[in-house]
Amino acid sequence: MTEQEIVLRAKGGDQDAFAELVTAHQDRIYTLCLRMTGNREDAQDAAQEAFLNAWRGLASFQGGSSFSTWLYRLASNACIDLLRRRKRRQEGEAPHSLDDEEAGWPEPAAPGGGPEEELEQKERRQALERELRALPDHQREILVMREVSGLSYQEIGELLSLDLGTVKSRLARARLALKKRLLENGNFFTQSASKPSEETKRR
Amino acid sequence: MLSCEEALEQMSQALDSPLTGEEQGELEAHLACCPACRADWAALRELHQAMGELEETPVPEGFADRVMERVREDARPAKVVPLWRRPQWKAAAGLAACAVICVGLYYGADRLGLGASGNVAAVPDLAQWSEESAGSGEAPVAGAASAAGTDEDPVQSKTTEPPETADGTETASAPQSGAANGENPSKVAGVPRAALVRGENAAGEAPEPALADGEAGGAALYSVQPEETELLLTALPEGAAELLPALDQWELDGQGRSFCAVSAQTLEALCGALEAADIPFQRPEQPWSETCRVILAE
Repeated sequence: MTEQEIVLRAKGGDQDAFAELVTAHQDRIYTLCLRMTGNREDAQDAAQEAFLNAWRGLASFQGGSSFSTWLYRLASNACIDLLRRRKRRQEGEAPHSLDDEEAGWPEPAAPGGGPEEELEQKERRQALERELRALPDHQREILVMREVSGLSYQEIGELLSLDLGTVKSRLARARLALKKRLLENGNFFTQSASKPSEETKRR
Repeated sequence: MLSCEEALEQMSQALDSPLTGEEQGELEAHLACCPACRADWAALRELHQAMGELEETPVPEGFADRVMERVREDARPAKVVPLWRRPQWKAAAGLAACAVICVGLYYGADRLGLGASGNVAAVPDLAQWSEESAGSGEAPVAGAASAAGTDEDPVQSKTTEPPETADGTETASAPQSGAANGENPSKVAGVPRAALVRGENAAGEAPEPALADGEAGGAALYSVQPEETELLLTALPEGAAELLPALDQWELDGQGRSFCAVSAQTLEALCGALEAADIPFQRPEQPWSETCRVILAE
């Protein structure tokens, strides 16, 4: 049975069919929520919310976009809401910073190659995840929506209520901010990326 | 000639979708004479690739089960709550049970030769027991129930044992003969509407949250009574008018707060409206009862 058929059955109220959709997409959705919210608890809440909204909204899902894209949108929405609420509660502070393990981010798989290379890759990934988590909410969320869930500028604009030009510039700034953090705080860049001294000009 | 800021935006966009021929040309022209941007371009490409390689994190165990649990609750059709399960009915039944117990005590004590006054004095004032059986009703019911609980010596337990709601649950199930209604008295007499504020019993101690059938009270601060989920609000959101009855139709509980009964679906919708209106509230813990109570506090 193709996913389309499963979705159709779920639309008709078939809960078992919907459960299949959940198990098929749960890791991806959870990962997206984890990247966007930065911690496991919030990620679970948001992911659960996303699936629940998917169940409730199935009737209106026309199948225009793919089911997973639709799901990504719901998940992004749930995360955005959660981040807004969290911000209001905590006056803008991210929850206490967790080390990589606590935050539930995965041990990167060994890519093959010598142990030195493995360690280097692991460090790079950890650095990336850490600095991503450390970005301000509004930058992290747009970066994750684009890079992790693959939403288009159009879709991002709709979800964040931004026009395309703003999506483009915010994304660019988010990437730059992440780059800066990684330059300062990690062994990420292996190639000769822009060194701090070169940053003196412009902008 | 592009500024560095414009060049940055073009670079960023190029990662996501191809530039037009003209845009490409402009960007290359800028990069040709801007080493800083060249370095940025290399860095952004590296970053983009790395982000694409970020791995999936598996969900914690039981995630799908929890989701389906909520789906099932959501899918449950709104039923008419059977009469015997409605809160007012339970309260009335509790009152009836209480009355029967007390009458039994009175006559029982009388037969044992004790002065009526001595017994009656220890019997709590039933007039306190309101329809809603909230707050203050807790103590009298529990007192009567626990007093009647030890079948062998009702008089002794009445005079020596201070009314304790915690015990009320267990002992209240004993006087089956006394309870005229078919419903399990432990659910009724021992678990009155404990409401959201811990009431005090006659001994002046704050009682333990009443439990029924070994169920935990969930989010203890806000929903002690497992039979009915409660939502405590200080303000109503926009759109509440469509979901809830008019305020002048709400009833008053024993603490003088307005409340109304709603279905779980309505409660869910209400929570959505609260979130949309940025009104802070504590979402009651799942699972929710079929009939829920919305309480408006001062």
